[in-house]
Amino acid sequence: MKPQHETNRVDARPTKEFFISMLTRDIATDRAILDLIDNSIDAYQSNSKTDSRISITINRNEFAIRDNAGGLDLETAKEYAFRFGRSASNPLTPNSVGQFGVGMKRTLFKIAESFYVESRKNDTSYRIEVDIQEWVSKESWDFFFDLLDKDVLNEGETNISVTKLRPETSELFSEQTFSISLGNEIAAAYFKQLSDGLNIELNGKPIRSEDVYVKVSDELSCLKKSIKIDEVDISIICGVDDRELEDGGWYVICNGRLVSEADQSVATGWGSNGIPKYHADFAFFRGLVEFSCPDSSKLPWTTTKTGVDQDNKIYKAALHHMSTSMKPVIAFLRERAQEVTHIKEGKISDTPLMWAIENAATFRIYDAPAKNEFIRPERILPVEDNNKMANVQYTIPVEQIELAKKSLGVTTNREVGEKTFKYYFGYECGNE
Amino acid sequence: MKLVKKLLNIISDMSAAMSNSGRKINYAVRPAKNVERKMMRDLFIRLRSFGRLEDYRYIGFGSKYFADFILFHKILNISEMISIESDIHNRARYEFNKPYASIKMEWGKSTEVLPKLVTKHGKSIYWMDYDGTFEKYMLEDVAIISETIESGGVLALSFNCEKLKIDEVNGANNLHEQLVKMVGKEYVANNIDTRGWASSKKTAVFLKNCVADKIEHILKSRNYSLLEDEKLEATQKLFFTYADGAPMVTLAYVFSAKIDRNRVESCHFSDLYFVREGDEPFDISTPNLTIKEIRHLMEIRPCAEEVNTQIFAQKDVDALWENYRYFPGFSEIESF
Repeated sequence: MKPQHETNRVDARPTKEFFISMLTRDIATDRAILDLIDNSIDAYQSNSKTDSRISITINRNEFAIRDNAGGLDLETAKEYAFRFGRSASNPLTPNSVGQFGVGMKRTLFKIAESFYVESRKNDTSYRIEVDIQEWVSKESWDFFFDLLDKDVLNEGETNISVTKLRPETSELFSEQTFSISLGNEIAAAYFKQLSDGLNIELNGKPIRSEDVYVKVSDELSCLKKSIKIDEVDISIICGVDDRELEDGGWYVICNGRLVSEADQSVATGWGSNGIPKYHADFAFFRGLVEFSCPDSSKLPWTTTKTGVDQDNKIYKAALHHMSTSMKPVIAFLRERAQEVTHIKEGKISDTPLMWAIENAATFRIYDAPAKNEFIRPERILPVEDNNKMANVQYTIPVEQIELAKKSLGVTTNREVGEKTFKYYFGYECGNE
Repeated sequence: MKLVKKLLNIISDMSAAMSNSGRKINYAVRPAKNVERKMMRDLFIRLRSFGRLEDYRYIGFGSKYFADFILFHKILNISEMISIESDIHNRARYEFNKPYASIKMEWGKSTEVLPKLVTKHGKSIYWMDYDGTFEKYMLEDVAIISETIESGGVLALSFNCEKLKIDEVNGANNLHEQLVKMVGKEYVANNIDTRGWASSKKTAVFLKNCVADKIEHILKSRNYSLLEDEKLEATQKLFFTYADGAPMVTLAYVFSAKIDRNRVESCHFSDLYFVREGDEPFDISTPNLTIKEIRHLMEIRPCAEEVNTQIFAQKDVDALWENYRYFPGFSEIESF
């Protein structure tokens, strides 16, 4: 390498404004809030806490999230927690949901003008208070903490509070639909943890899990496959539930967190390699693919946790197994749709496929008894019809049809149609 | 009189008149098809290095004649055979024509039926002998099969490959459009070279490469979760072109895991003179000769200098001497 002279130096440091704008640009506010919940969940896990409670307050004037997950000790806060990006020396939280080291900062920079974070662990309580404008104007990247009287917080509590919202965030938070949709997002994203006993409250009301269900019986099974690639455990479950256009598709979970809900796109295999595009006939389909790994950096999620990284090798490997697992279910659903057509046409007298779905019992997808193959009843084929007939229909001015009736010596429109067809056929398609 | 051709034409016409639905002619009497089928049989026999042929499963389109099923059952002793048939309104007739009770009919279009069949474990030979021009769904079928086919399995496809008709005024767009219709956008470069498409070989090589790409794409994803020794590859063994009427192409790929490399080698596929692993097809040509001419040429074979060039065209002599072992020996039988 050439010797580096101070006089030849070019300034390539990022500005804080650029940094904030890049960091906060590509994530929606509701998804950003989920990042804070992820941190709480990781804390519960690393502190092996049960009786977990996360409470979120959100309105025009404030945003706060409080948990009893064990607290963030001051040393960790000083060394790692507020760094932008995870440093290599930072010990990993096994099977964590937060992993990129951007979650909390990104969220707070997105919604706040000023905020504080306070926590109590090992009987030390402290608060870190930040005025973002002031921080941006300074050269230094550091934040500062104050020690608090320890009884301000209960042991193990953490509280993040925005003291001043950005004007556009305040406006967003004042919309009732925002908090409703945030509640729905939370219910879906943490459906597994919520079902397993995690408590999340939004503005004082507990959130119910938005579970995924499948229907199973002796004649209709749900299929489960497990594989392990490069330390990542992948489990795939496929089956059918009642027809629900919006709920049909694939649910993708990384370390317990839903990152893609009812995906009906090519990202989960729809419309490629012999699988048809998603369609109302397939709205019965439910698929769940779960990736788990102690090292969460190996999981195929995007940094915003709103989808999968389709170029990730582990995801590609999983997609192959998703594709082969869903095929027999799709074949069954296709035949179910044909069954409906055949019964309407009177070509079959029973609908075993429809009944199989109707009569099966509903289970949470995680609790459903699973098999390593998809079991289903045989379809009934339509009666053979060697003498296929078709209808022809068209519209003619009344005046003309009356003339044709007279000319043909008939009285009904139907006869006009049949006779004129025979006439044409006899001359132009004869001897057939 | 060119007896062989004439006789074949008569028989073809008869069987065309006899069938009322599904495929129009009896494949047993199409000479190139007949030759092809026996060449495939000879390729399949060599799979013995992978395991007992009687344990293989054969999946094809038997139509009403089941010519391939009969040949592969008799010679390879395969008994688990599945025929896919979309003509569900004449089921009784197909069932009636099954030469062996062990053949199972699967009703529906290949793309709809294959997903139900491929989940079963075991070595399989698939011959998707399509009777139409190439269409996108054929690539879907290739994908479905490649996702689960095991080491030692074979995937063969036959399809009609007419040369493309390109509008001279707007050649590039027209060509692009036709190709996209056949194989889908992802296989057709925006700036595709418009030269050379007047030959059906160009289209054949293009379609072959699409099939090979599809297989490779599927195997790549499949291999991610396989151990090093289990990783699969597919190698092209057959690339036939022939025309009993319309120009046809047949491709065949042998799938093998790395651990089975020695088995592949001991199959000695390349000993078969018709095996083609690249872009140059093996053309199954059938000579236009009378029975007397054939007898004479066989008596003097391989002495090329004894051929009377006033009587015989060189291409007919070549075609006969190259493939004579595979030619059908037809004779009239009393069928009723």
